[in-house]
Amino acid sequence: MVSLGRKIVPLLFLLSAIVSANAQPAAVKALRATISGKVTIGGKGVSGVVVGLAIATPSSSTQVTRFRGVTDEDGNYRIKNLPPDTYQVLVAAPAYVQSERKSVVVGPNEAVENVDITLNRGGVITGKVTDADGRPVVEEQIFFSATGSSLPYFRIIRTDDRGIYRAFGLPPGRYTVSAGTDSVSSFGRNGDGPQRTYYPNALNASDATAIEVNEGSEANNIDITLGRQVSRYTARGRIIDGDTSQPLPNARIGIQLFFTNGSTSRSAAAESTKDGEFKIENLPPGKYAVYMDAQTDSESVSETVRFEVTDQDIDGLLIKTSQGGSISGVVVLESTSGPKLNLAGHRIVVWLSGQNNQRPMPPANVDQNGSFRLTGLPAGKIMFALPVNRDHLRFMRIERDGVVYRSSIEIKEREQITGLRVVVSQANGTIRGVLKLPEGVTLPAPARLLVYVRRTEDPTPSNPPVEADARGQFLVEDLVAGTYEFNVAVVGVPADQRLRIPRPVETVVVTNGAIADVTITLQLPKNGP
Amino acid sequence: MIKFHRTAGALLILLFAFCVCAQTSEPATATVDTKTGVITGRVVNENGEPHVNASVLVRPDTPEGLPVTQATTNRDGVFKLSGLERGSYTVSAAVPAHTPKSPETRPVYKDEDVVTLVLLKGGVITGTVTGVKGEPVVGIGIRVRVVRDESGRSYGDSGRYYDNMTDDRGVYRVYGLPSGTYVVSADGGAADRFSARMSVNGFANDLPTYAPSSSREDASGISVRTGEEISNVNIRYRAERGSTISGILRGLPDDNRGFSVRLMSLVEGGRWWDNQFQGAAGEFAFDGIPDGDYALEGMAYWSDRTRRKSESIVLHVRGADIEGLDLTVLPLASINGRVVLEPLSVPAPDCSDKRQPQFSEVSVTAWHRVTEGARKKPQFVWRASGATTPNAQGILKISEVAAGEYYFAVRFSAQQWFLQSIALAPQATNVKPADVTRAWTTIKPGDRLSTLTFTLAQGAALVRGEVSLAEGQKLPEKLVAYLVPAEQGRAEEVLRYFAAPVNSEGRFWLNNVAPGRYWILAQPGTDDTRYEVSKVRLPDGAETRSSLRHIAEKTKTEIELKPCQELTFRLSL
Repeated sequence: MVSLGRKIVPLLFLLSAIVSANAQPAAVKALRATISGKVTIGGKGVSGVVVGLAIATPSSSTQVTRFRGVTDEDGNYRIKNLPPDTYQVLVAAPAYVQSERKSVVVGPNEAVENVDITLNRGGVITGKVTDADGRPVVEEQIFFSATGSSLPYFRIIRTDDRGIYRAFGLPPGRYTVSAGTDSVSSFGRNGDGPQRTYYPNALNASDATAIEVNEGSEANNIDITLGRQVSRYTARGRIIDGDTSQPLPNARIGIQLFFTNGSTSRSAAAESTKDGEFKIENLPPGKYAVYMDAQTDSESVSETVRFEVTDQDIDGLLIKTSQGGSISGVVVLESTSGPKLNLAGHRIVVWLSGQNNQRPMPPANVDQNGSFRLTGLPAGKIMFALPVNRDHLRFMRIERDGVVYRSSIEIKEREQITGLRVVVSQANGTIRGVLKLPEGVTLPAPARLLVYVRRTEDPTPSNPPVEADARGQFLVEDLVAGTYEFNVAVVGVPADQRLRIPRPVETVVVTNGAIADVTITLQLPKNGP
Repeated sequence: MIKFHRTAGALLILLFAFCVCAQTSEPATATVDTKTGVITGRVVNENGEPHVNASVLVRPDTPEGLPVTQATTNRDGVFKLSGLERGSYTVSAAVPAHTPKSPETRPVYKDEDVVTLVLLKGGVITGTVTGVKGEPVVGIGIRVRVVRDESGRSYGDSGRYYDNMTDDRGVYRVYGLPSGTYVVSADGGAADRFSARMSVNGFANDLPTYAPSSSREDASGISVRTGEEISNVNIRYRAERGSTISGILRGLPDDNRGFSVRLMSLVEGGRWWDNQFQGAAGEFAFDGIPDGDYALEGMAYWSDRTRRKSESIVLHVRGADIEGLDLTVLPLASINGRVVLEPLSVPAPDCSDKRQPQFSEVSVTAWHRVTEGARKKPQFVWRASGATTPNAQGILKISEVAAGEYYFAVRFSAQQWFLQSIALAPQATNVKPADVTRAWTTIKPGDRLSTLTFTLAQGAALVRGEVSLAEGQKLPEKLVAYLVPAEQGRAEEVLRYFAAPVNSEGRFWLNNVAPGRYWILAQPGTDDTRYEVSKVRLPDGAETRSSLRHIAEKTKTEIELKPCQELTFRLSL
């Protein structure tokens, strides 16, 4: 399938003057590792299958990389030229279910072998969606949610121009299938929409008939008839400065949606007119709250106004703003031996302690002198952080009049706090470790090991836990310099089968910009599981 | 996609120049509430029955088409949009699986118009994709691209396309197609528009296979009409590897707000790709690229909403990967300018029209020079065509200008005014203003040019011309009429050259002409009349101007235009 003998043409040859030489220093290339293994279906190797790798990004979502390999006639693949990282091995076989998503930690110049993947044919659910008059419903979302399988599973697809849908590659489990709109979640969508209906014709998930999916099974005629339309309403109101009672023009109005399952989400909703009036259209019945979406440098803070839409338009919402609190000061880089960093352009984000899904507060920009000013703050405990940034700068602590605050600072209504020092540190140290189980001990198949690291002087783990791969290898990046200790937990199996692993005694010293290696020998618990 | 069609159109029409433009950043200073426009209408099917819940988009009839206003039809298919600025708009509607008769034509409506939009049930193309052993190819992108529409217009590889993916049986189904001829390809770069790829794309390195089983050159054209279903458009997938192009984009800011790299075929109407992959440090890569000549260009977004752009480079892909490309984004330039009005100092008898140019109706354009070499560099493919309008004080700013050579043009609507000069000089200094009409203005990355002054003067004349033919003489096609300055010492004044096409009835209009003495003549043009007309004012049109002068000096048909004179003239060939 792949033509061999293709050569990389040096670019300089093609573009003499415009482009400079290859960016990749030869020294880095020498560190390149490989991952290899076998892809099988029913015990037999499969040829011509593309195997790819995903990595975790700083925002902790996974990203598919360009590193790929193709299986040979015996099902063997090899992915070469890999920089050290933690990878997930993914097989491009959409009609199949992959045995598990294997995580592999790869060191410099390492050859990791036997990363084998088993594929099982996934199940199919297919059917047709029609409206109350029997007409096909085109491009309607169909929701699949698996219950009873080992992992929660969720997928959305759409019907075609005939109202027909077909979901394939489904892992075994019991599925509820539904179509239509879940009231509040359709906020912002124009026009009417049909109410969420569960197969075969239930309006509540609890009344749905579950569909059993097994390896290679096909469930046909899973048809859904959509019924009642969800009506939509309009909410109108005004926003005024509570201190002067003057209308606020061009204020951005945010809305919070309260879903029936207890979760909430937020969205921009409207901008006030020159008379401070605002209008939010296409609201399905449900519970909402409106507020002023604060912008950077805005001094005002608004209250939150809750309302519920039932069967008519809402009028007369009144949002009052008032002078908010402010915090100003300087950002200070904790002394490091590294190069001098320019703090200008970095941002400080803040939020209120102890509230879920709260209103976003505008970030403050750090200027050339390291100064910042946060405005429009509500009263409460303000937490600080730096967004993910290229300098690997991380918020460490606050200092106010010589007093150290670990994570937050209390602010009263309209209080103007000045002279705050926000201490940040560069976090670009790495721990590369390996967990060793005692001789003769193995973990039960689906079990995985999670590694927590904590700097000894900090009260809580400073980085999210990482997963060790099948060989016990793990990699923790973006660490502040210091001495770290470890904690290891077993996950992936029911709680009663989980070993409680005593805290390892090993520690490791991390410095900025360097990799610290550590081998951790795990002890078994004294009293069994 | 639609944006690209615009770009492609601009490339075709304005071969001689690319335009860079921007809105002024000054807020509108109008105090009167102008948002009183209303557009109402219905969306119906081929039988006149209403489309319920159709989404309707209304865009101002400007190059940017912004802001977009949206509405939804009710149970009777009726929509209403109010609070629009008075003016011209394009209106479009969307209903799943349906299509307007010709999606590329966008009729323009005035506010207060009542609009009826007909959306037909689109055509369907369906088939199966199988591999070399006859096995179904699962989860591969399918791209159905129009090559010729119902009116017979051809699109090359830049036509509108419709994507979908094969299912677990290798079956695909693409619907909502307007009548036309299409090519269908199994294409690793195409994707179901509803589900972003969550996992590894097994076809990313492959070249597309066109139905029935070929490269683009030998693809079968498949004709489909609205309401019709063409089945068994099967594809035997060839799984041929394409080239990979990769490199790094440098000069990105610390708080990188994203960047994009575009690879664009140099074939007119050719395909283009936006970065399929990008890494945090500016790495980019394109996989599955067919052999051909391409331009590559990078753009980065700063936190203050400005953008920077790299030089475009030309790549020749010939069956091999190209690695290690190294591009650097550079700051874009901006130009501060103003429009100055110069009324007549001495009243002239014919200048009774009190109407003077309104700044809100003036539009200024910077045109990028396209030399033979630069033609292969699609500078600023993200923004082509459009114009800048000055604020109420006549002040304007052309922002985000890519480095290059430019000339400037201005449009206004006041019959008795003409463009007297375009000059560049720092304000309030003693530096002599430089005439920018005779030479290209070189703009370097990050330049802040100031102040570009457009002087509009009162007293323009108008020539209503008619070509008079001798007995039995036939009117030549594609004639262009010219005015060439006849006065001593004015031969080099670019703004005293005027050109207009002669229509099929032999008539032409030369307007906004500076008063003075001219030679008038008509010359055969080419197919590209627009280019002919513009050429007399291009900085490198000196040769054109000089040859016109030579011809005019021989024919010696001279006219004298007094301020605001309207002259009717019969021009003998």
